Amino acid sequence: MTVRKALGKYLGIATVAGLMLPCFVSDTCATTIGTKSTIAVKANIAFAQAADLAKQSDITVGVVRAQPNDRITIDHSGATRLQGKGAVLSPSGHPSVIKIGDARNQTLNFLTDNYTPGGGISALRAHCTLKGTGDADCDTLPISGKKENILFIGMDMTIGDSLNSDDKTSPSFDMSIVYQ
Amino acid sequence: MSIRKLFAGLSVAAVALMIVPDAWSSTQSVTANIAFDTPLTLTKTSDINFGTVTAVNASTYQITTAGAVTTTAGTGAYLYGATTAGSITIAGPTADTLTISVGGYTANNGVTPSNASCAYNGGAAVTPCSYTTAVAPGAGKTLLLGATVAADGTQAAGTTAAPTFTVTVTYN
Repeated sequence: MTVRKALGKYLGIATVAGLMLPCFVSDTCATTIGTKSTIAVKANIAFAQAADLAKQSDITVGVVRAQPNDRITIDHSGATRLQGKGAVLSPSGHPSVIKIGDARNQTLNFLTDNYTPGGGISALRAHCTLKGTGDADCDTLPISGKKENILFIGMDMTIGDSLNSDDKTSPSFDMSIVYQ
Repeated sequence: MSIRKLFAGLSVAAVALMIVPDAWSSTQSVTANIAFDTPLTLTKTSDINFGTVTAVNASTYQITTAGAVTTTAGTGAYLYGATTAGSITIAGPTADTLTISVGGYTANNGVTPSNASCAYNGGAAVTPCSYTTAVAPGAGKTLLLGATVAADGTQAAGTTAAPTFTVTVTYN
């Protein structure tokens, strides 16, 4: 074989290899034959255990004599505190308690949303802690799940400008637990 | 005849043979016509992503060309994670319309795809994905893709699946 023929032979092989190489290393390549081009599309999907939630109780505030613009806090032990011109008559309240099922090997994120005022409450902010985590606020940090998880939820609230004792509506919010 | 006269005659004959009269040749010009068209190219910019759904649950999920996931059969649900529609950029001819179709549905890890939908060049979604005279792509137009997947309930928590289908584009 002459040098010219040998060079042409290996250049041809290298050219074919060069055209094929990108398709070997990437799944984004299309195959084109004439006027038709075909490409594969993946439908990626992952699977995880769904959280098992069971609310045991809602928040119960201790007995207070509230004035407009007073700020009331019930913590995750149920203790009630008031800042303002009003007074706490009975400090023993009760946090909301939610039981979460087996969340081993999962990280739990707690998100509050859909705050709805009521009963003269003008502002709400929930905060939570997972039993056994040393009172770490779970609404700011993700927490590693366990086989059994008990969530305590407290709340900060502000009394509105016009407090109406006949207003029997109750404020509410949603607690979402996102795990990964 | 002497050798010298013989060679002289041969030379004259050879010269006579070398002078070819014009009447014996003819020349024609031939034109090789060839037209070039912009090649059709498909570039996938995104696969479909359903995010994370309920494990060990036989359910069917659908994702739209806008990337929204819903449960269409069963008690499973979308739990969390980013969801994205598929996206392919089609480039090529500026004058030829396109035929677009899907097929080659292939299951993976007990999850079977079907009923792909698509939206070409910002238009409304079409289910099943099929175009016979889609506008020419030119420098590039986007084909968004959705699909339906049926999980058979054998998928343990922490596992994934990547079923596939093919998109075929032909210029008319």
